[in-house]
Amino acid sequence: MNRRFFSIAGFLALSLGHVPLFRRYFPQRIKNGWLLKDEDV
Amino acid sequence: MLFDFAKSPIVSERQYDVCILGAGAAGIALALRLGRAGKRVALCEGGGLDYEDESQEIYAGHTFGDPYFDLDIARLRYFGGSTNHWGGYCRSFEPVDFNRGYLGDDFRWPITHDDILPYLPEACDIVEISSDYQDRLVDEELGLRQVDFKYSPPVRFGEKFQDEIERSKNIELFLNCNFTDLIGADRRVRSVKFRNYADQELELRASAVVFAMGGIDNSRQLLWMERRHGARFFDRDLPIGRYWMEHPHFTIGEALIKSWDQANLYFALTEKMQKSLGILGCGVVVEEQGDSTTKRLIKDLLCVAPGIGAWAADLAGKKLICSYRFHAAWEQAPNRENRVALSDRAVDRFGVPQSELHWRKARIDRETMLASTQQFNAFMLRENLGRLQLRDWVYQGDEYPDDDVLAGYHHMGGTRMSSTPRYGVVDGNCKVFGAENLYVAGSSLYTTAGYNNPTLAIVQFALRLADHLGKVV
Ligand SMILES: Cc1cc2nc3c(=O)[nH]c(=O)nc-3n(C[C@H](O)[C@H](O)[C@H](O)COP(=O)(O)OP(=O)(O)OC[C@H]3O[C@@H](n4cnc5c(N)ncnc54)[C@H](O)[C@@H]3O)c2cc1C
Repeated sequence: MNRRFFSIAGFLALSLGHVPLFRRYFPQRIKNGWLLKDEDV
Repeated sequence: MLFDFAKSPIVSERQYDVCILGAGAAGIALALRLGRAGKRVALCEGGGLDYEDESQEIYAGHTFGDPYFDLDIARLRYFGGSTNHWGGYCRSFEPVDFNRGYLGDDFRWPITHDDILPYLPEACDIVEISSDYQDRLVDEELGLRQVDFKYSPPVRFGEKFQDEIERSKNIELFLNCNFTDLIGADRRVRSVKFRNYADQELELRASAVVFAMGGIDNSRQLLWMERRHGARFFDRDLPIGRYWMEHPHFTIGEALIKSWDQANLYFALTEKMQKSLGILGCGVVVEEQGDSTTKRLIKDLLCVAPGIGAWAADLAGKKLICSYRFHAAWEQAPNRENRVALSDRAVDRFGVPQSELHWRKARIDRETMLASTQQFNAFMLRENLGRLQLRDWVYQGDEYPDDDVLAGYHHMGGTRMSSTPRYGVVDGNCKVFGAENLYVAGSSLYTTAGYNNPTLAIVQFALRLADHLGKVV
């Protein structure tokens, strides 16, 4: 059971972990550090 | 009255009402108020009137974790303490700082903002600033406000109050007088032992004793007393040294902003917004830079976003745009693992183990900075003020740079206030849990750190403690 639990938890952690902390706050377009609006580019 | 223990042996048979260990901002403010109230005070300072290597070396220690300053340069050990080199930036705690229970039990203070607010005018008087703080709501929806900082000249507490202390009938100032031990039994301190640099000893008797040796040595000396005396003076197993906090200080980016009159002002989020984002306090200052930086940023922006780059270049031609640097200083969450501990490698000249500082920034600390920046950026975009370019380490999620300001030299926590010994070392009256007459003054008391510089509030807390001691001794 533990094995199965860990593999599901691991999968979840990996998939959630792939959204870097930064992106949670800045989902917008970013180029070379500039925080841009879609119409800027 | 002033006695210099470096110059001659001292014998004192007096019984003091209060013996204060350390004459920095906290110790001096406390002594003055007690002295004015007619209490007999011994104010005992480990250093002399000026900087001396032999005193400063006692502050040496070791740091572990995130890059931090050497402990013997992050503070000063002589009369006036670290106010001999502080910058004088002043802003006190805000109501939200006493209201962080939503983040967990270890964020709870045993007192409220109203308990220290009455001491603000006198504290401002001491550091020579006006107490009329004018904050301004900039945008309610985004929770953005402009916050007011005041600047002390900066007052050097030793220089400013030496005269009054020397003339006081009630305060006796002992210089070169290093606290080394407590004498007493059954949770009551009867007297305090000191040594000078020639290893002569002095013992002073007092009804109450206050540790005011700064935000690292309050913890170090209390840990040392616990190691030497176990539960003789206070409860065992208090979290002494733990929950130590700083204010991370970093440049987070640069911006091109069109004709703006808010440069060099400070911004922060409202209480409501901090709570809804689940973060702590963060102050952002937006500092104007020169023409060459404006040109560099416009060139860079033109490469990645020609549309908005052309807009910026056009405004630059009309001298209607400027470049700004974004500095942030923010609150760090109290974390039990961040701590002052006793070194097992080295002792100071009096045989007290040196300090070890274990300090790291946590995820919530980073979130506080990112979420606050997000709100500020949303405001810039909505008002079409300009564009912000973040530093690489911010948006790439890298480690913090080690060539930036790093932190504020603000040493907080370690002997924090709490309503329970589980999370704190002192109660709401600054008395060590389990002790009859042992107290603490200074920012080591802080349960949470706020994002503001600590000294103005240190003075408020010291004045409040004086009022409490005035009633019990
Ligand atoms: C470079 C720098 C810039 C700063 N700028 C600001 C600022 O702009 N705004 C702000 O609010 N704060 C600032 N600070 C922080 C500010 O200096 C401290 O918050 C303040 O001085 C702390 O007061 P304190 O009385 O608790 O401790 P301290 O001022 O450190 O005083 C402690 C005293 O205890 C004495 N002592 C230590 N051990 C013993 C012992 N064993 N026996 C007897 N005496 C002992 C020391 O000699 C010292 O005099 C700055 C600090 C630094 C280093």
